[in-house]
Amino acid sequence: MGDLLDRYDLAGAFDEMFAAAGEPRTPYLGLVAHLETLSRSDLDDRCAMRDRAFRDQGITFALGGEEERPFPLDLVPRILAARDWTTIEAGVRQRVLALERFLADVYGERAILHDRVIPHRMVVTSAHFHREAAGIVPAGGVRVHVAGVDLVRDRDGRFRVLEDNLRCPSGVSYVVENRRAMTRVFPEMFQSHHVRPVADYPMRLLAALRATAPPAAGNNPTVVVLTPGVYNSAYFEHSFLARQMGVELVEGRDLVCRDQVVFMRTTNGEQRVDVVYRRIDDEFLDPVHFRPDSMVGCPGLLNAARAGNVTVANMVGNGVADDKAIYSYVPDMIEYYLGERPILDNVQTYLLEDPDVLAHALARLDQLVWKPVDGSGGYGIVIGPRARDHELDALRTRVLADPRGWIAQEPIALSTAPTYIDGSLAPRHLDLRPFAVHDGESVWVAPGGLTRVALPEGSLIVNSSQGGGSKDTWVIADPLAPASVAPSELPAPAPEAIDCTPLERGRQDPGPLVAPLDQQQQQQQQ
Amino acid sequence: MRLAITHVTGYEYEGEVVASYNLARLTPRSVGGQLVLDHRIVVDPGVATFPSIDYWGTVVHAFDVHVPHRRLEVTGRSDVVTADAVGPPADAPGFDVLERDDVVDQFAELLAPSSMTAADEVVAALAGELRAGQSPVETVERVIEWVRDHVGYERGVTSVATPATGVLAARRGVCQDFAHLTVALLRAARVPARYVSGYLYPLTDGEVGVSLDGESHAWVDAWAGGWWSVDPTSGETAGDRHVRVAHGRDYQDVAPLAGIYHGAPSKSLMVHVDLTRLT
Amino acid sequence: MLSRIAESLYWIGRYVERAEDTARILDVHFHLLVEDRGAEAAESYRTLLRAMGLPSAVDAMDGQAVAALLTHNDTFSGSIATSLTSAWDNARGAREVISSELWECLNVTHRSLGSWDRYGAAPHEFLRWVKERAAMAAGLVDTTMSRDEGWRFLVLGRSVERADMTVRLLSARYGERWGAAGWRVLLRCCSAHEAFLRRHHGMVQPSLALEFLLTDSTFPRSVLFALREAETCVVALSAAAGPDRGGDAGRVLGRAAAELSYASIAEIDRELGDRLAELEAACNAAHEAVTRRFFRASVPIEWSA
Repeated sequence: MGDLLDRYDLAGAFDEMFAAAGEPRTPYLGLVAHLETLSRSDLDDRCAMRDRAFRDQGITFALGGEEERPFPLDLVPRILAARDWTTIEAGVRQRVLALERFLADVYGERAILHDRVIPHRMVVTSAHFHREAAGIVPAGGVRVHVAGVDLVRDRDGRFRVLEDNLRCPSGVSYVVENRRAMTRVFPEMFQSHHVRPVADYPMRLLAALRATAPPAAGNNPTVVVLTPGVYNSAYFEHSFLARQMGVELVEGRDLVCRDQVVFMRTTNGEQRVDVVYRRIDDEFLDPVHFRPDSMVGCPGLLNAARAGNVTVANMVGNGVADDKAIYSYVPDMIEYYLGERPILDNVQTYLLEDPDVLAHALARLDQLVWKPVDGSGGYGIVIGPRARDHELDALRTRVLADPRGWIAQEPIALSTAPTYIDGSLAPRHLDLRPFAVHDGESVWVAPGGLTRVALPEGSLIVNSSQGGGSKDTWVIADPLAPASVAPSELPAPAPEAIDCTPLERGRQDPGPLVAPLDQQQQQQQQ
Repeated sequence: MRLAITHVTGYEYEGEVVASYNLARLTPRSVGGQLVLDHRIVVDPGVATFPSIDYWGTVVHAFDVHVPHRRLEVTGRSDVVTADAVGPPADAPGFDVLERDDVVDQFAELLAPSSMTAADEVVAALAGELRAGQSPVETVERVIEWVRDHVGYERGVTSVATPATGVLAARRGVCQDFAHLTVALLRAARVPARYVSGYLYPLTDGEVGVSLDGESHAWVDAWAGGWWSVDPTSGETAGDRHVRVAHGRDYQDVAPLAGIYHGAPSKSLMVHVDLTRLT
Repeated sequence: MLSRIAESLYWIGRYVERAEDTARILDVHFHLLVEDRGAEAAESYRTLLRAMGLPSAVDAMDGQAVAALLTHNDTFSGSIATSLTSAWDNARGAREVISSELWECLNVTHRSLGSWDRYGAAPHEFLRWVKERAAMAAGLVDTTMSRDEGWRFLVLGRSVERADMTVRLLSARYGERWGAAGWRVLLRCCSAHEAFLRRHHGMVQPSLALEFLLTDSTFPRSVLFALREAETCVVALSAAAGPDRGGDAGRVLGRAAAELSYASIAEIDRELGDRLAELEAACNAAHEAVTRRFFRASVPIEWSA
């Protein structure tokens, strides 16, 4: 029994589970104790159970034309201490509020540019600065309904922001499904931990979408999720969110705009739509303003938003704020708009337009991490220390040709955590993408988020499109904090929204973290 | 000069078109001394239009048509008092000011090449030559002079999609091409420049009340301490015969009518501009 | 409900029913002929394929080839594999409307199709599995979905397909003179043999069998029953749009059902060929009317600049 952790070597980075060999960090004590009772064949059985559950539910993804495979969830959860989570939550909230203000500003008065806090040219040369969206005042006052902020942990264990995702951040369905799978595969682990639930994300999102509907929609606005279709790699998530929110999942062809009002085609004729939660990129969203050859979009949508007749979430043009060069100004935005010090630091980033900076950075070509400013999904990133000579040569040429198109960052030794690989637990690098939902009044950060793991040994690329896996992410409730209260504006949850396990009666061993009654009830909703 | 302008534009299709979405930029604004007394826009088939102001400050009318049609016609009628010519700014600064960081940053998007004003090595070399030893105002004058000396006005050689480099190679074109090449050269010479679209009253001494055939026209704004409107087709400072409708980085930012449609292919584009002097 | 989704649901209903019907019909024929290797084998397969809409292409086919065509051929739109894949494909795009249970059922069915590639000489196991999966899907439709529009479109598709299939089976056999054995096969193809025996106490008379398959008002696979069910769905689906009882679709289905229910079996038998042709036409017309009324205009549009 229980030799899974015996040969666990720390990889020289900050390890989430162990402070030093054989010394688990406090939040992990219970988990380590449990892992020590498990054998390899126990874990293999649970893995099989997990794969079967994912396959049967169709929770799969396909890598570059390969066969669909179950989403790679590692069975060892990642645990965030209540204290760490408090920092992350506050930091993400602060960041989202600043970015929201920034977007309203650059598509409106442009005060931050006139005040020379951010150079004009950084904004007007961004590939995702969409002049088509200038002057639009979103009907509900919100542009960033959903944000995914990618965090990494440096050698000292400090969380830093690696990038912001303000366009169509994806992955939240895996957060919810991972938790659902874990509670089925490893129910006993949850007995001894007070993990904050994540299943109410869709209801929070729906509440935010409804709250930001055009005022004329009244108190029962029609919300839809707009997807490019079943062949999109994130279709599962689009369908998941529509189902969990109890709203229609539409494709562009289901919508029609007439005189700046959006309708969907139903069996009873056209029905007015008030909020479009779209998961189609800006460039394909409205062929009137963007690519005219797009067949997945809805012509007229942007003008409907301009007329205030529909809320588009997230708003068109948000990409300018998650441009990786603009990213380096986010701390300045936080001070400029909020008058606060940033709670979460950036990673040291070099903008390469300045010839001196460019020369210094190129001299350290093989020591820095290089990223295209408008990329996402991990595409195009070159990690200097890992790159071959010919890759570095090619990189140099491309950077010199378009310095505005690239940033260079100091490498971060992403933290590691034990991950089940080929029959044993081995350290693998990971990051964290918390999801924030903004309803115009406040920013709610879903407890936990998506932990992505780079599965190949030593790899730092965690994107699922690049072979990354994931972990269920546990935020341990602060035993002193009151149980979270459901927001008063929430609509009645759809039957599937909360996964109710039957009330346990006569439980023998409540586990080491005996909690007051209200918290136990919360736990039983996991 | 007070002008009545009727601008008719649209498409004829080979068969029925069942849906179309369009953006029309046909509306002059009261800016820089120009005064718009009246303006209306009419679409046939009859639909409502939705006006807004775009990034560049231009009035855009959006409209969509959902009835089957074989012909789409948009008519803009304007009654405008034109602005008098304003020459280059007095005590215009030198390149030391134009190349200061804050100025370069403020005009970043009007110094950077756009898709139709991209500069190749030929454009860059020519711009360098024209600017050598000159002030910004002199550079503008020399660029215009060069364009007028070397590019012949001729229809049918270029198309609506010809970029500045294509104009330079062909050495022929219409007002749009003159403007694109001028803008490309100015930007390459580090003078902020923008493309202007509007109308030109064709005569200097036209009779009041007589309507004349015209067309939409294009010229250039150059920044040399202040904006200076010059018309590279005529070589003059734009004045009271010019009616300004829109400006932007190039033609694509100001296209009078743009849109998408579903149905039979388009057969022809019609444009007709009629200008009448009222005073 | 979105027109596109409604159309998907309707087709899920049709495809699942089609897979089930095909499996049952093939199972009956295949095993019948294994039992009784008469000279009629070739003719029997021809009849079977005619019912499936493949009139002539198959002269040289033996039982195995016909079985392979109807089970796994993925270029033939009537094969079981194609039907189940199409059902799954439609379900994929309608996942947020159907119950997760139904989705999982269709997904697992689709995923398992590949593992049945080699069922050897005995397709029975496979066919039984198909029937079970289809029954499961039908059961989940009825036990996990609200009786709302979505459910009605599923049932509508199922009913139209069912009526169509039974009519086509009868048509394919029309003109032959067969005795009790032939009718027994036909009843089995419609899962109607036992119900028929209970109703008529063992005697398989051709006119009674025909009456049972066409006009029995209690057996769910009779043509009349299926038409009435389809009509009920169409009327209910139209209720929100106005009191027109389903428009064209309702009219076509209602008229066909009325004509069946008020005709005597002697009359029907006398003009059987015409009657069956009319019924086939009615099924097609109902399908087209439903498409026009509920599913129009949800195709992707290609825009020109």
